[in-house]
Amino acid sequence: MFVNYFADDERTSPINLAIARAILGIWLIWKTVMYDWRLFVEVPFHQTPEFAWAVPPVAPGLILTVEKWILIGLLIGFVLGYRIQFTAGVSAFLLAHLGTVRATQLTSGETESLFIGVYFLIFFALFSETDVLSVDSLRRTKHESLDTLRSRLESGAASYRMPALKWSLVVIALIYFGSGFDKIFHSGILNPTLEFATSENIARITTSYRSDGPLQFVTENSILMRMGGIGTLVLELGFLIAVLVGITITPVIVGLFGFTVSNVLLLGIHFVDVYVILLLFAAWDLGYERIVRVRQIDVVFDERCQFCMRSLVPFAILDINNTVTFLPQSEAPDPYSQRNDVDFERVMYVFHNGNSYEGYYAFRELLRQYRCFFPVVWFMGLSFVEDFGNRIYRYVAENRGTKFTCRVE
Amino acid sequence: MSELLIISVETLVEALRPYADLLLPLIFLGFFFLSTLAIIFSDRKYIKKSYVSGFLVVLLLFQTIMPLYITPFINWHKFSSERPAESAGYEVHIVDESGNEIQLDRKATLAFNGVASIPSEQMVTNNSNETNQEIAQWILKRTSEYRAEVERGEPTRGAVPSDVWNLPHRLYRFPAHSVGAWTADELSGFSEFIGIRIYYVQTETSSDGSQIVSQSEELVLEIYPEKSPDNSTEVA
Repeated sequence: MFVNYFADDERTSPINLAIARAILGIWLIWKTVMYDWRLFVEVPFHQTPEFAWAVPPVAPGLILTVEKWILIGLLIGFVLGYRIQFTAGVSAFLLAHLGTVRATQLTSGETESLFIGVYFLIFFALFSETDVLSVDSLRRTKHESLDTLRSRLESGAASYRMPALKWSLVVIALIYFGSGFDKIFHSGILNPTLEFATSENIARITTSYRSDGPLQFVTENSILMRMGGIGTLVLELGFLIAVLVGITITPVIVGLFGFTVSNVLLLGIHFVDVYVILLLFAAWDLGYERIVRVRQIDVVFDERCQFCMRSLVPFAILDINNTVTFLPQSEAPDPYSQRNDVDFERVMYVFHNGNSYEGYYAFRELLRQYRCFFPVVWFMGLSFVEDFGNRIYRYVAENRGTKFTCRVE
Repeated sequence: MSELLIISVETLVEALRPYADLLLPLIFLGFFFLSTLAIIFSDRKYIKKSYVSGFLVVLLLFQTIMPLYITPFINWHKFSSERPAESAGYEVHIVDESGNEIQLDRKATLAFNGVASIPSEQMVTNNSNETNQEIAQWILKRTSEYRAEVERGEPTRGAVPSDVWNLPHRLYRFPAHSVGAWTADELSGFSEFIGIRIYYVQTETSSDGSQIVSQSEELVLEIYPEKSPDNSTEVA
């Protein structure tokens, strides 16, 4: 269910990295877009004055609001994978600045999690070249030769490294480790203690936070309380150990989810960020593999047209089950090339079960192969969209040599 | 050896503390300067490895032996201190025109999805009536606005778990970091909020920690900013 990227950061599909990028960006947008900085700066005191240097001395409400919207814009670019080095790098800086301002009032976990987002963004920027399911990757294909593009479409298996997720995993495991470490060595490195994990201490934490909580009765069970304390330490310290040793991290992450839910029920602390952060390391590709159709389809493309092949590269990357066969039109088998209803010079074709789909409909059929695009497929099937889309496709196909940088050799 | 290292780190931190105003922004900017260089030159040999190694070492120090929280380096050191059987703290209550009071819903205090503490201890111990008045005025302004939103059924704060069932459309906001919240029913018996009261609350829990065996509240400060310019009353 979850991937220990430290043990092996290579996958047969780049889906996980693309989904993690989307989750990370959307999480940070969702979290920061509602911040009302004008009201924030009205607060007449600083809980943590050490960070007051980060508050703009002039028009702070306005400046922080503008900064927030720039951040949102950059994060949208990041989600799409557009100029990742720039969008992720600058987003990290702005997010860290807004987080520091926020820390003047609030140094709880929900502010700290912003900085975890900062670290992850920096890793995505640092290893941006490995992110192939992105706008950047599509842009890079502009400089690829026809032969390279053709080979990318025709070759089936590939592997993708994900160092951004590898180091992000180490970072979050390290932060959890620090949490467990501090519970044991709170009184000094030479005075380790397990007082945190005593049943009285866990019960007291619960009682002092939420004496009227729905699960308050469990505090009377000293064995459960003790198990809760020990379990917390095992999870917090064990996460890093599991990561570094290279064993499965799924039990630890499931445990941390349970731990977070128990915090809601017992303490009334709802730390939603944890779910999002840990979901970055889910094996999305395994789920995706099950969603993708198993039917075999053939795509016949113009191997002399760079523009056409570039458009197909993302589909080839998404084809993790090797259910799509990309065939250059010069090598299309006779049953396809001798049909009266096809003209390979004009448009792209998809063949399935003896049926042919051309141009706009071929793209729709190709999208249908990857079930996650079902809303797009449905939208493309609406009569007015179909009509409009068909015209656009024909216009692009007819002018691909002149207006769409199609290099026909 | 380890203790010596910690002592020297702590000594260093104490020695540098007077320069915090200069050092904290320098550390922040220095981190991003190095990060920018690493990103720009990431295609060069050893740059990525050196940056990631250095970053992880520094982060490890902040997780273990550095007794500091310096952005962008954070830690999740939560609940590390042992909870004593007897504890004490402050509670802020909001008072209406009739003298009725309700404990502050901390979601009211900041206009984002979170909670913030009121600097109750500083308010009780400081001698600046002017500062206390300013804080009390701000609390009343925020709580009155928040109350109006709660009564309209549209509080502009983060959703809490119960909202998932009662107000699912409010999930477009990032969920708040706490579960307690004022309800319209609870607020219906109150007239206009005009003041705040700060209580010093002492709590004693049972030996097994499962129950509160005694709790005492002592009113230590009352402030009614609208009544007169100088009406902060130190009760205790």
